[in-house]
Amino acid sequence: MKNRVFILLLSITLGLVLAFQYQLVRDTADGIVFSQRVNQLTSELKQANEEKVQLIADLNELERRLREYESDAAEESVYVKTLSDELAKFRQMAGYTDVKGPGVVVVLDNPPLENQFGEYTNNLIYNYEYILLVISNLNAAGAEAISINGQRHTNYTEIVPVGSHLNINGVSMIPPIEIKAIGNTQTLESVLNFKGGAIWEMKNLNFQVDIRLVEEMEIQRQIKTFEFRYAQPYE
Amino acid sequence: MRFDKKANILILALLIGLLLSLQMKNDAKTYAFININTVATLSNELDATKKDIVGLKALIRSSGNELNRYEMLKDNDEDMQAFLRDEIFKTKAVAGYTNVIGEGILVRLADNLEETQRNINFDLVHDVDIAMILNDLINSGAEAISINGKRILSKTEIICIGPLIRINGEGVGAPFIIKAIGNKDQLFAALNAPHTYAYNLRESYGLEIETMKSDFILIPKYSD
Repeated sequence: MKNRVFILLLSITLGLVLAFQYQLVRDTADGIVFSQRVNQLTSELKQANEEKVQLIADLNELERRLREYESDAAEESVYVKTLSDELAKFRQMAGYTDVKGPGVVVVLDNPPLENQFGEYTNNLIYNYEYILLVISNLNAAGAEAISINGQRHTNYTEIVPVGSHLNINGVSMIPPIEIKAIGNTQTLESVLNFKGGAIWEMKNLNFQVDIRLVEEMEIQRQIKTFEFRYAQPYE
Repeated sequence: MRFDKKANILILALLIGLLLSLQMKNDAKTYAFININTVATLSNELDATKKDIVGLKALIRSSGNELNRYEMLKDNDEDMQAFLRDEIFKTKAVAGYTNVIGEGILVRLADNLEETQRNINFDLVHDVDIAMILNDLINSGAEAISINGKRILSKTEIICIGPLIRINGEGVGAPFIIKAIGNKDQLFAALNAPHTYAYNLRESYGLEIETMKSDFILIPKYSD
């Protein structure tokens, strides 16, 4: 009898160990593929980022020389100066310049995994109208520049779910979505925290929302230039 | 019989020892445990950076061209002025501060006025409906949009203020007339293809949405 119990215990242990072993081997086999992929991606990303930094430096240098020409010309005539000031103003309005100032940073993320029900109901990607509403709210509070995950929000910015990610300015992204807005921090904050507003609704749906006020931040210019194909502008 | 049992136990014990040692050897230190989200995040980031690089290269090309033109023009004040005026006009147009004309669509969007016996909210046009429709239009390549004569820019708010919707600081009421310039067929499809947002509003909620293509749409400039 004692022996039988002993064998039973041994068999259970054996079974457990076997199961663990199987589990571990299966996980690590996947893990190897993943970690190789991740290593590859990380190095590619590093390269791409270096290239981007270099290109931004090149672009800044070019723009600096352009501004120099403009200011040279502006020194010679008052009219040219007025013109170049006006050009700078509209460049800023079109989102072609970096801007700095105080503002808010809103980070929107999917609910924690244990609070997600189904694929669609609690996924920001399929509830992107909240992003539109948050941007509308920020605009109502007088935001002067907005970016979404580093993409400048312009007149031509679309927010569209494509498969399992969102396309913004043609760039695909997944939550968390970081929205930056420059403006009066007090107004921006209160419009976001308005009871019954978009953020309130999102919190009720368990979305993770983080609002931070920032004294000084930078919002990048838009990187694409826009050309009209169908519209003909006239004064 | 007794011998058999001992042999059984021996074999089992050996097996356990073997497996235990394997288990220990299989210490997972050498493998990083990575979930699929890390891969997705990384590849998305990479994708975004690559797109940025393409955009930056195009910008550098155009800035280089601009610089060349400046160098040619710098001695001649009049040419310089003409060049600047041209640039201002182009930038102004992109920023939405000029009137524009072109092919596109006209949309009439109105509340469901029939007696439906259901929650009144299902019968009304809400701010989010308009925001979604505008977003769909932009996604289909709309180059300029206006609602009831108000130009829609990135800084435009579309906010419910009771019976009206606030657009560019002013209240606008139903029916909403949306004008958009772009490829008229694509814009038409953005609101009429099955299961688009506008299609669902019309078919499921009974809101009044009429779309009309036109070769001649005028959209006014933004005014404060």
